[in-house]
Amino acid sequence: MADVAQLSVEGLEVGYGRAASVVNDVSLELGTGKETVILGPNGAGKSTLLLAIAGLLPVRSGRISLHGTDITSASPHERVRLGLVLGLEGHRVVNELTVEDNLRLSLYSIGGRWSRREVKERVERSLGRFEILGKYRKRLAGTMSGGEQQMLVMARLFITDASVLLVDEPSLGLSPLIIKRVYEMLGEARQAGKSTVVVEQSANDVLRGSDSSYVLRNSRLQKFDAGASREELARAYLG
Amino acid sequence: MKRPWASLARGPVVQSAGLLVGIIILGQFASGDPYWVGLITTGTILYILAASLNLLFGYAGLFALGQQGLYAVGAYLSVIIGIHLSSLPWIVDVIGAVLGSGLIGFLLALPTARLRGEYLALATIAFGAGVQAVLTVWINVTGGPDGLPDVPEASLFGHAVVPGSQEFLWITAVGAALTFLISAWMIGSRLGRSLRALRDNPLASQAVGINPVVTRSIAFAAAGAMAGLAGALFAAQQLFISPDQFDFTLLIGVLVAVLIGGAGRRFGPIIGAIALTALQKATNGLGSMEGVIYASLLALVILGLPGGVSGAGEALVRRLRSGKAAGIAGAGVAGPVVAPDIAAANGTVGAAGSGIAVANGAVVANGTVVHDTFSHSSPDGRALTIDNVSVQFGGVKAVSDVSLTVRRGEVVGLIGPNGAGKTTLVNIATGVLRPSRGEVRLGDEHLTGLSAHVVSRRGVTRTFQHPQLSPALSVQENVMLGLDRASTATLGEAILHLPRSRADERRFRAEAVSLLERVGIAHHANALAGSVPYGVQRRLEVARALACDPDFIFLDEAGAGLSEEERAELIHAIQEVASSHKGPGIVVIEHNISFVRQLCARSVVLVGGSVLTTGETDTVLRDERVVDAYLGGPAAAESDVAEITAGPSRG
Amino acid sequence: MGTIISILVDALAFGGVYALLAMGFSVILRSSRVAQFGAGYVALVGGLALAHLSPGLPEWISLILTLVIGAVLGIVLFLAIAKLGAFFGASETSLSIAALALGLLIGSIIDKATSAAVQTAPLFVNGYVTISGAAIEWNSFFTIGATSVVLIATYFLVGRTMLGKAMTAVCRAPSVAAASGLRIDLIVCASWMIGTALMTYAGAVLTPMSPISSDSVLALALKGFAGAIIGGVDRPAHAAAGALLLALADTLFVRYVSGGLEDLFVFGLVFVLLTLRPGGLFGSERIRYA
Repeated sequence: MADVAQLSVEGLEVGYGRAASVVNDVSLELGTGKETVILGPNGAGKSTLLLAIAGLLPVRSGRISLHGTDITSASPHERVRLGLVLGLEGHRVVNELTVEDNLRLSLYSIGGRWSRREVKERVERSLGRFEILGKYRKRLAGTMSGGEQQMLVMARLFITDASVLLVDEPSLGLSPLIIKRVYEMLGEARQAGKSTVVVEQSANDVLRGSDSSYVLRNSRLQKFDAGASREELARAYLG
Repeated sequence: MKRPWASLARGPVVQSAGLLVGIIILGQFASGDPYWVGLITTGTILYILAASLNLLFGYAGLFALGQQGLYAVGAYLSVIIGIHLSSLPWIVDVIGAVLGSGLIGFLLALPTARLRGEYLALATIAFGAGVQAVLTVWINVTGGPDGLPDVPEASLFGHAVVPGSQEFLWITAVGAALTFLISAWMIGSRLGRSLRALRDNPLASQAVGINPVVTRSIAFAAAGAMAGLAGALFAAQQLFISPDQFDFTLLIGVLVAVLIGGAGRRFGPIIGAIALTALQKATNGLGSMEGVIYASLLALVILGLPGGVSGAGEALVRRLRSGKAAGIAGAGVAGPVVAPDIAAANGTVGAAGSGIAVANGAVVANGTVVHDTFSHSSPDGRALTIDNVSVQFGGVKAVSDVSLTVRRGEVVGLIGPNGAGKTTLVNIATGVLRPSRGEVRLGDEHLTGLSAHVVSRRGVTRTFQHPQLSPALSVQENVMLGLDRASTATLGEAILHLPRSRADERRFRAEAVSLLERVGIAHHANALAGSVPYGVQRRLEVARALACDPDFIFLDEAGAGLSEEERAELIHAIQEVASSHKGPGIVVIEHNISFVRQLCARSVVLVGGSVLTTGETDTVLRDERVVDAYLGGPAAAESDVAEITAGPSRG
Repeated sequence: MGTIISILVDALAFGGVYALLAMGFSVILRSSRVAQFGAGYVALVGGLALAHLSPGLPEWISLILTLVIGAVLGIVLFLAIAKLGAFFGASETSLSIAALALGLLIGSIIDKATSAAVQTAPLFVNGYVTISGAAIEWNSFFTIGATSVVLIATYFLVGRTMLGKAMTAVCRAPSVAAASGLRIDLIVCASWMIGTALMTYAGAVLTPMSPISSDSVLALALKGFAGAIIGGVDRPAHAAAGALLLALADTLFVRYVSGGLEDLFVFGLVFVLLTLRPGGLFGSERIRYA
């Protein structure tokens, strides 16, 4: 069967306020079950790119398509409804709500798609899959550690059965064990046919298993050969 | 070609004289009809009151809704002084009212100095209502709810001046002209710049050393004095005052006048006073329709005409001059919903709070303390020493036992991956954040725990991750914000536009231009800071920091968002500054590594809130540990390569 | 003893009204960042509605209807202020003044359209009961009951329902809320509906006790705002508590010290509390400093 692009980004240009564009002429294509990794020094615009794809930032020019549908000016809500979800940088969650409520929020936002029973089932399944979350279900998300919060973010990404996952620096500041678990989950996602875009600052864990990788440097995306040496990568980062 | 008469016409003295003459002429047209003369007089008094509110609300950006209280104080004071000290001429009553209201205004500012937004609104509303309550209750002094009916008449040189007469109108016209003149002088002085900077960008104001409490108190005192003048004139016109004349609806009327005219603009209160008086006259016969029209107008103006009539007029003039279509003031953002905190965190000039990256929440790395021993001792100047500082946010150590020493003339790089705590460190060094442990010293002077504006005055200044400017001031005026603290003239001299203050202004204007030349943007000097390109804004921030004549500057990502040429120019400017005689010590925080290589002989690498290593920049960047910090740990590297070369995706 | 009970009942009756205003103010402010300074006039709408509805209908139906009217008015205000304002790019301060302006407009229209300067309505319940020597009106108890029901219902709505949690998410973590797919617009509209309904209800409940007019609503609203800010404007429950405490202090002062100085006391108290504890008695985080 032909590899249909789940997510397609063409010539994207994004910037803030009156500054020069942080993302320039970026194009990507993501097929079913594929993982794309975007690396780059910080401040390069990787988060900006993901925010724009998710609809939280307006684009200055370019096109974004999801399963063939143009979503360039769609609201974040619509994108989630169509199956595109974003995990924000810094394992951000709603600190003032419980773990359970954080999860329910995602289901609530696409109200009407699932019955109350189904919602309950999904939440239970989510909590069961991530043991830590199950233990802390009634705890305020803000009281958990960074790693635990990242688990919650991952759970949120899975709970709506989204087909395209955008993940922003899932390993930042986390212990190796958690990082391992996160990447296992991403692997499972790909096995289930989901497409993922992962943005990372550090190259270790990421390069294994990715289908295509890029470095975002000087606002442009450079294809990066996964077989490249560490020296080449260092040069790309540190100039 | 220069048109000298045009710039003369912009001068406050000429304009206020024009105002005076204009009002008098207007009075002549109405002569013979005391009703009309009275109306013009009322309008003039309204102007003075509107000007006082404009100072606080428009220029200082303070949500101060208690002006009617100061107005009442002025009215009552003038009457009470007049009654009890009847031998003194009327003008003394007025002066007493002015001083008294000014004092009360000042006293009002002190406890409310930290309040802003709806909190300040509430406090000032409470003040205004409180004044009314005091007036109602203090029967012995104020006559209580019945008020004071025997208001002494206005008199000048022994002659009684009857309200509704030309002479009375002239007196109020003089008051109006004085108000206009002093307001214009004030706003054009360093006080005005400080007020507008505080209004538009409290962060930037801190960085240049503006003391918010002092500045605000003076504004309140001045506004109080003006309101007091209006009150005294009002009392002499009405010849009867009572508490219910000074209620909240009066304030709403004045607010409408200010907004319609254009808040924060010189002619705003004039236009507003005329509009409101005309409106009140026109709707007088309409009974309750009056309120409807009033309120609709207010709503329309607020939503549709943020700059009021003045603003619209200015936009029109600009459009006629440039021939291009001017944009709608503040047209909304099209496109998908932008989450406000994201836009603010990465945003534009004036996005308050974006310079402080709180919760750069990194986990504690192995906190080895690495002392900065590389710097050579330099003969001149004291060193800035950051000594073992730590700070935490909610259990996470953002900065852990960091030490750093900078000497004048040095350019040191501060680099490290995202979330390493670089901006947090700058916040600590400049007094924005207080460390939980450790010290910051300038030579032997302790800076730890001092407020940001004090630290700035002691000689440590900074720029921000996103340019923090006062968009309503010109590029040149933004730079002058940094120079203002070197003023030799007192604030009083500044307000009254006395020669020493004028000399300072001239000197500062010239210095500002030369600073702008240093960073290569002098040709933008007169443009509004909010309208110039991003690259210019970035360099403006550097110029402003230099204007503070600092011993040390922290440049927080000064190169971000710049094009290649702009970055090159900036690098050149920084090198030139550092190498100049008595040049400051500069700490450069950058993600762009080539920027750092070109500028900084020495660099400090911060990872996870601690210093990883420090030394010559090129050496540091070759250090394996540094490469690892940017790319990820070394252990995995070999297996990475092996796995990748072995084959395609697993699973 | 009787006096104390009478004071308490008075304080709770009026306090409940202020608490409703405070809660409405807080709900709107936290989600849309607009201070609804026109709250008094919204309450006036409620009073007007009750004045016209109550003759023909049982009390509880008229009261429920005022809630509905408030919700509808909330949608209108949301569109006018939040949407239109966003279109023009107006700042939050401007929008808060716009809210006041629209309130004034509503007040003027009401003044023009109705012949009565003051809105009156018959007591919900007639008669009084004597407790320990003090005569206390049944209406006061009804008022306390009517306000409590809605206050508690709102507390649960904001704290326990998904809508309420979505509102909290929008208020505290807007980007996470958006990334989770929440429809921010609808949620902000919902908070305007809830907040405005609380305000109209407050006006309705107040009217039989104390007739309401466009002149008297400013002082009323002020007590609501003061209560909200004193209690903590970010949390509706705290805002309501602040208003109740303010009402208690107010009533005590009037009874034991002086009725004439009441205004002075309230304003003085508000001023002092703001300067000492700008974050509210219960310590709210979102404080704006110079």
